[in-house]
Amino acid sequence: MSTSRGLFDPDFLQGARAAIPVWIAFLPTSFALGIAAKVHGLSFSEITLMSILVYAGPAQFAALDPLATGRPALQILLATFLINLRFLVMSSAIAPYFRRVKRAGLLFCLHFLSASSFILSYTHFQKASAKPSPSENPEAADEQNLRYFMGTASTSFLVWLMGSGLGYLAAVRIPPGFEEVLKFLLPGYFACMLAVELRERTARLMGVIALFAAVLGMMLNQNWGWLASALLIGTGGWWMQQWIQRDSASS
Amino acid sequence: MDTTRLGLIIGMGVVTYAIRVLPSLFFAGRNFSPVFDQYLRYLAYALMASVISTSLFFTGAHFETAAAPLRLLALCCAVLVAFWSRRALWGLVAGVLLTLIFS
Repeated sequence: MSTSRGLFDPDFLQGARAAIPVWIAFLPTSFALGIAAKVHGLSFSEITLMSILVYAGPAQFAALDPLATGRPALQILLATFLINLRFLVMSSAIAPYFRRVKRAGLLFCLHFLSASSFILSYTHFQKASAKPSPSENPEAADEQNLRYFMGTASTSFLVWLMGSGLGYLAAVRIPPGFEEVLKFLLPGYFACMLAVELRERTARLMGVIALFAAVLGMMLNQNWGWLASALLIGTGGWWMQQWIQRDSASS
Repeated sequence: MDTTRLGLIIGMGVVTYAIRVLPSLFFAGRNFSPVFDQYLRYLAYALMASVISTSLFFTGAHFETAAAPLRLLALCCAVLVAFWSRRALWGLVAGVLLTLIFS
């Protein structure tokens, strides 16, 4: 049975090693987030606090403009809720692997859940559970899982926090004349990430339509237009994909 | 620190923490249907595209008419490079370079 040795625990270190590609991916995103926060007029402590408490790139990005322009609080919280709803599926899927760990520890550790740490840990746990290990104590196995998860999740969190802080500090030092680049940086990066991630044609088409519909939505209602158009287009896109899947299954 | 913003950041933190933690307490091991999972993904994608648009083409509630065509061109170029190279960073570099050249 393996025993916990904090940062030098083999399970923690194994998780941290597996997360190195995530650190590399997190650095430019969090760096761009820090720059965008400065462009939107947030303070260093505000973006740092947001990275600590929220730690979810898309939701943080979505909140920058509404926070800076003083949009309704309900809109910001609703957008945060809707964008982060994907954690619901991840959290419930990973929970069985931590079933026997102490509740307090689990409540703390789950704050560090991100899409990347979920994918790394979940695939690792599935592989590990497929291997027979009759001598393993189930309680110890769950503790081991949690240490592996913390190795991936907490180190990625630290990289995110550091990246957003460094990005903010770098933006302070960027000379005037680069405003257009600064304005482009974060939305441009997220658009590129979507271009790489979206595989279904319907999802790609939906992304393009949502991009233009948001402009129209904002012109119709500057507070809620973008959110309402995204909900409408997202639901419509999903419905269309369902219809296509049903149609191809029946033919 | 602005107290309204501070309150909102804390609120965002609470909302996100609840979504991260509550399912593991109440729905542990429950398999959500792939249809529901797909709906959440589509919703997140549409929201992201919407936020990209508003943060790129608007300052507050004002649509930046003069800058919008160039930004759209840079965005299209970045997305195409990212799509073909399968690397988001390459796309960003292309978009930034185009923005630098034309601004």
